[in-house]
Amino acid sequence: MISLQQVFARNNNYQLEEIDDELLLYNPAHTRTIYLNPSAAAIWKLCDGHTTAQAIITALQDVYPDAGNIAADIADALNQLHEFGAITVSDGE
Amino acid sequence: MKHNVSFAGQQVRLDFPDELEQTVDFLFGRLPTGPDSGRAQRITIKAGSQSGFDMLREGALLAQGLPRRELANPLMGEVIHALIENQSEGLSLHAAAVSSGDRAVWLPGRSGSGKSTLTAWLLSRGFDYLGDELVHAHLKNNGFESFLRPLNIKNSALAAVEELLDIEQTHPRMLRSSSATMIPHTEFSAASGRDNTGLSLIIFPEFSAESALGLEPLSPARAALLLMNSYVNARNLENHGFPEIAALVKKVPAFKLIYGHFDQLDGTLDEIIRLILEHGASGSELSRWLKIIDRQAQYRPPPITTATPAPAPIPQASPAGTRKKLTIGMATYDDYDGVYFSVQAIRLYHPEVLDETEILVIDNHPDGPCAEALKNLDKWVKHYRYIPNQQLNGTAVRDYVFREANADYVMCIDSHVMIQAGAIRKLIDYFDEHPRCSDLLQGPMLRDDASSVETHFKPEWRGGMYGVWETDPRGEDPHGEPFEIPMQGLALFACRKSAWPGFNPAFRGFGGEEGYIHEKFRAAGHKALCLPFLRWLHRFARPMGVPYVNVWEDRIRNYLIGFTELGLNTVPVEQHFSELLNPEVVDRTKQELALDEPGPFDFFDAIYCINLDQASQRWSQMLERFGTLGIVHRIQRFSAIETPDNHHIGCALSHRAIIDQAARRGFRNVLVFEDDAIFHRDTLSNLEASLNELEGEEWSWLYLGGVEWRKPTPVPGKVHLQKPQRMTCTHAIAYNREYFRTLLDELPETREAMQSWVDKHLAIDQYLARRPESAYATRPTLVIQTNHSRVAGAAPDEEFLP
Repeated sequence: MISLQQVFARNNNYQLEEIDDELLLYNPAHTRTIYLNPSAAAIWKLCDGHTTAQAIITALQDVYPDAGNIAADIADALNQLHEFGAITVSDGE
Repeated sequence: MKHNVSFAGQQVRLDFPDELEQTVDFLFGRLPTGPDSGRAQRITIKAGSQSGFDMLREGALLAQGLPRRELANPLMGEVIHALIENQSEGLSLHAAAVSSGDRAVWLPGRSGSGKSTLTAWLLSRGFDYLGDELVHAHLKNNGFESFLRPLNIKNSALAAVEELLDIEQTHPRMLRSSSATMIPHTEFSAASGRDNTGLSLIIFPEFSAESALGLEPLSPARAALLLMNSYVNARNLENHGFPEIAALVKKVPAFKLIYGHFDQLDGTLDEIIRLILEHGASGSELSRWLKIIDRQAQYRPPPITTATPAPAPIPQASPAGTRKKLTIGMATYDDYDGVYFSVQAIRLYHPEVLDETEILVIDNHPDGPCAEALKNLDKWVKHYRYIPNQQLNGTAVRDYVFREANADYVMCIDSHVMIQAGAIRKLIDYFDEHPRCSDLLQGPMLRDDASSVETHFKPEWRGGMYGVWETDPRGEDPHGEPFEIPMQGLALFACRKSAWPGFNPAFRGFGGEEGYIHEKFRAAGHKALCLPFLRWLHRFARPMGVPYVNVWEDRIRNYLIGFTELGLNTVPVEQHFSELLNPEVVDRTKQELALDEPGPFDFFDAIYCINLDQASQRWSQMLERFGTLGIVHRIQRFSAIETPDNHHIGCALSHRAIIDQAARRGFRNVLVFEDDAIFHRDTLSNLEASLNELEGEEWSWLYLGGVEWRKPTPVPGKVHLQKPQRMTCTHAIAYNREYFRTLLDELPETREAMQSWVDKHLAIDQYLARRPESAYATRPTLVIQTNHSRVAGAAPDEEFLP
């Protein structure tokens, strides 16, 4: 489970293709391609090793003010990215 | 005779008897032959020794005794496989292709996705045929080639296609097998498969009977994701060609087509395609064209979807040779190096036993990167057998080794074990000299210094394992006498095939087998022996990682099941894992197992539930229902074989695959649920009563529920069993071992053959309903379906759990 104070960093072993505002991540070691829609791509970009889950949620709520409560969606996305090995997680400072 | 087939710089040379000249010309006559390259893969067809034709590739036997009418499809498949196997100069994809003028459309999709049928519809609307199976995009010049072969239509769709294309008169020139028909492409205004046609549009077809028409524009990123699914030579390209796929979709528009009937396409699909081809559009432009709403930035939940390149074709099993004295069997998962060195070490250091020995390799990842190389070893290694295995994993695979062994003696090794020179000879001699020996035979493991040994496991717990390495001085001398051991690691063990007791069918994943299997031999009156000469070396370190997952819960589960089966105290298991992990994990596993509460479902050696991968909600609901009955731990999920064109095909294939697994593992019976099953409130007590009455009866299959089209007839003297009369549905049915072989012989294994079978029998439940001789049904009905709760014959809803 993701905690709000954890921070996430992108796994540099993934190749990146940005097409319009969507992302494709590819890890040759796993032969798996991951597709991120614009919302998920924004989450991925915010995984910079410093930004906490809470800050990612806040940032996306600012971008999509009418989206309602999106915290659970974002936690799911972070969990999935973590399961795929596309991001690493740490407990923050 | 000889014929070359060239495609995208690759070449196959076919050698075949004169009588097949017309067939070869029909299949490959429109493809370029190219000059002899000297690098061509060689496929040989020759008259079989008894009947039909044998097919060989590079001298290795691929198929035997193929009837003439069944030859075309396997030959076509093998040629295509050979053409893409080493292709590294561009992107090869499973796709049909049609053109209009100098612009082309791709229809990507894996085999069986219906792309040939949609291609036929497009031909009927004036498009030109380029191919229905394989395209190859060049990286350097943006051109592409299409594999121009006869249009390959499943027999079930043939009538519709004939009507579309008005080709009844070409019947004599069609090539019809039991599953599909090849229609000569000369019938269509076929353009050349290799010309200057440019790719202008990609359509991902998705046929679903009765569904409404849908055209879903795909962003380039989503198109790339879908294209990865059809991508067949990814493994040959740097970075698996990912950047090239991404570059391709940026230039070419794409959409997903969902349809349920050809009528929906008239005047829509053909017009849209022509519009796009005439005016041109980038992926982004098409996406914008077809979007009706959403000009504003709008939040969408962030779904994260994935794709993997099309798996490599699964190699065929090697034919079994003549029976040997000893089978050396090993299972592997993506460990080619381990297998290679284990096998070649046997050949180098044990030449004296090779003629008496079969080497059996069970590949647990037959669509993985090592499969082809593992299979190809059968070209070089005499008495080597490769068997692809997609269904079983973990500890249970060793049962499979014993079942497949074509010898009286079996030695099972890990696929990264080497055996000291001379030891295999002595093992065979030992068996020969002890004809009544039904003991478990093991030997000392050499440490990496290749001199000191570990002769056995001391029965103690450490680090999640029952058993700690120990040395008995009697094992230090390789010439010493055999002696009993409590247990030993199972990286090498041997026994007579007939003496193998098997693992508990409820074992899952890895772990729990050491100690358990030793005790099982002792319980049967035999011994676990260390033969000091049988020395072996084991590779432990895996610095590159292990490509499969060990799950603690599986390990705990297996120990608890094994200890319980043998009547051993399970408290030490619980204590050890509670300290090592935490008590919650142990409690959860125990709760799942409900070991202290034997129930009627124990009657079944295995219980499967068929569930589509994408139907996760149904699966969650089923787990809740199984939980209510206390049988979650018994349930093995079976990933449903999906055949969107006709779900009866996938259903029958799924049931067949489960029966096949049960047969391979030697189960006495197997219970199969489908994921829409709902249980009677008194399932446990009623089932127990039914099973008590079933005891001693000859039975083929047992319905726990079904739709009664005629009233079942009572069985004299039975209250809880009845004879079904035209009972359909297979959402809760148990199959008995005595009928496994019959069903496996009756139900075809491949999709194509099953399609024909379903054409004849409609569905597996209809087939079973017509063979009621030894079938029984529980009384009352114990399981109904979520959408059939009110049909005639089912009990009232309130008697069933939600």
